[in-house]
Amino acid sequence: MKKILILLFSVLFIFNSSVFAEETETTEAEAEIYHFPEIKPEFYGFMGYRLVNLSGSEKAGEFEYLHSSPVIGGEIRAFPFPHRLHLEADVFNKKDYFIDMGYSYKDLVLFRGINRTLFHNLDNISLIDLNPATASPGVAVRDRGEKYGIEGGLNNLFLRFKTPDFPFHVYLDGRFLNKNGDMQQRFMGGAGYFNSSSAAIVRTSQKKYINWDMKDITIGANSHVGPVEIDLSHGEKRFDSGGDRISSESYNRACTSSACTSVVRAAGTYPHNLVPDLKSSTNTLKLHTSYTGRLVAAATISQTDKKNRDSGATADYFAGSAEVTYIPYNRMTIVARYKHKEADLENPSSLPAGYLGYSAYTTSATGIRPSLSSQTDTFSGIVRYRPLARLGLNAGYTYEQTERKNDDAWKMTGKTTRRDATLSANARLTKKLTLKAKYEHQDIHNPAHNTQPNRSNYAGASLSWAPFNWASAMLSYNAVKEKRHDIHYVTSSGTFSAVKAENRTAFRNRVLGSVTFMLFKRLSVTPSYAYMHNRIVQDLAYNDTSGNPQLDRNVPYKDTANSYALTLNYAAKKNLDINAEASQTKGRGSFYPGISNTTLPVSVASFSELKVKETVYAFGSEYRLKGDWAVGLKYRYNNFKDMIDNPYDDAKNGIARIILLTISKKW
Amino acid sequence: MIQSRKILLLFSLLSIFIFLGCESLKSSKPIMPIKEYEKMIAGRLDADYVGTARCLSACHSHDKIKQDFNASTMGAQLSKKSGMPVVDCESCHGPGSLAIEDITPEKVEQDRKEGKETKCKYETLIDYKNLPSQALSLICLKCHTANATFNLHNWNAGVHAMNDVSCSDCHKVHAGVDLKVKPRETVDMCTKCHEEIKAEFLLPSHHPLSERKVFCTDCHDSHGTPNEKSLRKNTVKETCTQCHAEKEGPFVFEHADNSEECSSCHSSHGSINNYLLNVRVPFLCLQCHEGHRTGSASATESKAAYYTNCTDCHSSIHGTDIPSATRGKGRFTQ
Repeated sequence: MKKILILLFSVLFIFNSSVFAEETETTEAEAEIYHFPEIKPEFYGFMGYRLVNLSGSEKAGEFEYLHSSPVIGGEIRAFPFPHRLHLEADVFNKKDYFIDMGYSYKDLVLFRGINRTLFHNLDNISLIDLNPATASPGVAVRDRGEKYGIEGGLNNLFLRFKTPDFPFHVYLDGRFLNKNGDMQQRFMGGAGYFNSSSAAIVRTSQKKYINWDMKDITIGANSHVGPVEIDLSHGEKRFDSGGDRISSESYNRACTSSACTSVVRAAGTYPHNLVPDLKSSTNTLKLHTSYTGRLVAAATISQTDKKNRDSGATADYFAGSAEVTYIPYNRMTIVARYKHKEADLENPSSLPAGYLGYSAYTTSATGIRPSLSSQTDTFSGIVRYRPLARLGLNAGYTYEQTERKNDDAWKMTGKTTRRDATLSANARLTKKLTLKAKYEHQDIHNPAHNTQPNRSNYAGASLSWAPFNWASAMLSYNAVKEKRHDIHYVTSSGTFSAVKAENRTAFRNRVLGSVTFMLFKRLSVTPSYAYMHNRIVQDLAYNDTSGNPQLDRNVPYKDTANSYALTLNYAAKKNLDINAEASQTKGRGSFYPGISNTTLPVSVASFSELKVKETVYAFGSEYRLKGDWAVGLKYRYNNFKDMIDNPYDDAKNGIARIILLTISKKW
Repeated sequence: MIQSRKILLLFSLLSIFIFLGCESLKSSKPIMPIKEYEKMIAGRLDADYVGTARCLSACHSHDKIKQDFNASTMGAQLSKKSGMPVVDCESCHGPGSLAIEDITPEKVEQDRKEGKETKCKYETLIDYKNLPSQALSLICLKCHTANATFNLHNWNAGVHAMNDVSCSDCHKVHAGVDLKVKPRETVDMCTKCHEEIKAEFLLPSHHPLSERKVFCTDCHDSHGTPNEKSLRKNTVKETCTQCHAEKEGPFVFEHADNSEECSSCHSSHGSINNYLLNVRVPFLCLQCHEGHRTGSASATESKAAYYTNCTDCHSSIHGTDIPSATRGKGRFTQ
């Protein structure tokens, strides 16, 4: 494939060079001198201070670096033609900043670089042992009181060169990501299943330092090749896992009876929670015809090789798609699309003695289930018809077939087919009233997972109404209902047999509404409301202490979110803007098991029941002074409340208050 | 390992497209019947091109627009033949001779003295307000089809083009020098139409889109892609692992083919459940997997251990290279 790419790049280059040479000769003498206009550079700068106050959980400011700090930022636009420059930077603190820069020379060189660095506060989930006197299941908390968070820095770089007067481009597209910080690592510790089938299982939590680097660089070229345009690119991606990339635990062998030998390992130090180094390379070819023709065609082919540099597992992916758009007349568009995807995963069938450098692996581990590979073909067609200027209708149909390899080893269906039909309408009922509606029906034969339905129906509609100049409203509702029969479970007894249950239904609906009032010329107020509801009813399977499956019929699960918001924008004076927002989101969710094994003496659902409330008040104001100076104030109050205060769950109370004071100047 | 049949497929497709391209060029017709099209896209056929300088020499109400345009990528391109900008006002608005007919610098000056603004005959220019969305896009595509603009590769069959969204719904040509939407402003632009998505980002667990730390365009390409939901990458997993690269694999022990489809467990926009989970743990896992040891008389303690967070023990749920203690089993506990 690489040879083909080199060949095609060379063809493109040679082809373009000849075109360029020809054009240069004919035009140099005729060229007039055009003087770019003089445009004054624009500067904007600000500085200030960001005050942060936190009480309780960092969840209240999940994506904020919760430390007070000075802030600085600004923007520069300069046009010393033929150069054009742009730089924008906001630095809130050392772990939270944004930089966007661009440079171009005529239309020949184009550079864009964007950096985003943010801090993500992470949970320290408290493991609770209800009865410490009992060895198993036990708990080992090695990270009590630790605060976790990761700094993530993402750089996007794009550099493109173009030949003069002919669209031949060579480009580099890079994506660089670094994540570093501390996070919680939970894992199953204890000797259980290691040295003795009767020894303790100990849920363990500890601190893990990470320093992960990802580089994803694509180089490519594109141009005209006769009547089509072609783009060829090659990408290389590397993931390097630094920090505590692997952990280990030592175990003493306790069980020596013959019953244990098949499942128990030798004494020694064993690794766990490896974050492996990965690499992949991708070749992509894109082709399309003229965008403005009555018949437009586009095709994309990409092929990716991935490799796990620690374990040697490999995966090859191939994706090819082709689409044709045909416009028989101005009211109709027809699209036909075909897509083929292949995922070919190859994991080692055994792991060698001394695997990953751990001598405790004295013999090779075998019996690894072969990875699932699959091949998917999707055919789809869409017809867009506009019988009236005020009415647009779309109808679509999709047929998809997925075939899996090694499905027997996973007790999965080997072949799944999906048929999907969609109808949608976009109608301007009156000058001030617009309706959008959509219906979708889906049939899936032999779905692979329990969560996939055999049949689903989606219906949704939204109305936009602007009855007066001072008022507009939006109301939307949608719902999807899914039905599945013959769900099955893979038992955890080790025999890997399937337990057949019966039906599953899922229902999700959403209501959204908002009204915007322009109360005065300079004041707008928008109250809005959103309701989101999920409900699933299905049979669940549990094993008892003997390992026998127990079915719990028609167990309902529900979660609901209600969100209210009020936003206000007020241009109080020519030099004073005020905006404010208040919102509250309430969420709750749980499931409701029925059989006594799951409900006595306490319900298995009681440890995970969720009821939370998040309240946000935000206020922002800018007052512009003489000489293009301005002062700004932003305040944000975020209160995250765990309404049940369930000690087992991952929700904790927290309040974050952030004040940002700035002074700015424009030149 | 790419098989030879894929190479064959590649070259077959190349041949088909070159053939289709030839056919398309030969039969390439405007999207509308010719008269209607010319009126809509080319403007008045009885008008002449007069040049931007003449258009704006007397009238200064467009000075800022002109300055921004000159500073933009489009304005910076000079024609090899004329040495003048390739794109100017009339490239999009149509020939302007009728619009400035009877307008002289003297008249403009006289009007200015009288406190009046001299108005062009705008109605003789292309009627943007009444153009259908596809025709609006064609005004841009008539140039961008011939300059290898590959970000429009799937535009014609894309979900926006098929639902009456045109270029100018997102790109404000007169809003400033940079026609690109600023990354941090994409959330406001996209959620004007996608209000349901905006509501999902209000949920307690969400990607930091409202905080403007991630952008809609990180995952979706509004210009259209052949992928579901206009994802930038071929699969959901490839899209997610642009940032969550540590979960990309491949691993010795994969979570069946769920590891290829992150949305089996996660709602990418937002959820009331932590970690963007579709439904609350442990129900999430119990949908497919049998629960542990509910018959135990010791019950409360083991129930708390098994039914709080499955990932307390199954911590490598996205895939692992390390076998669990029971040989050959990939239970993601190590």
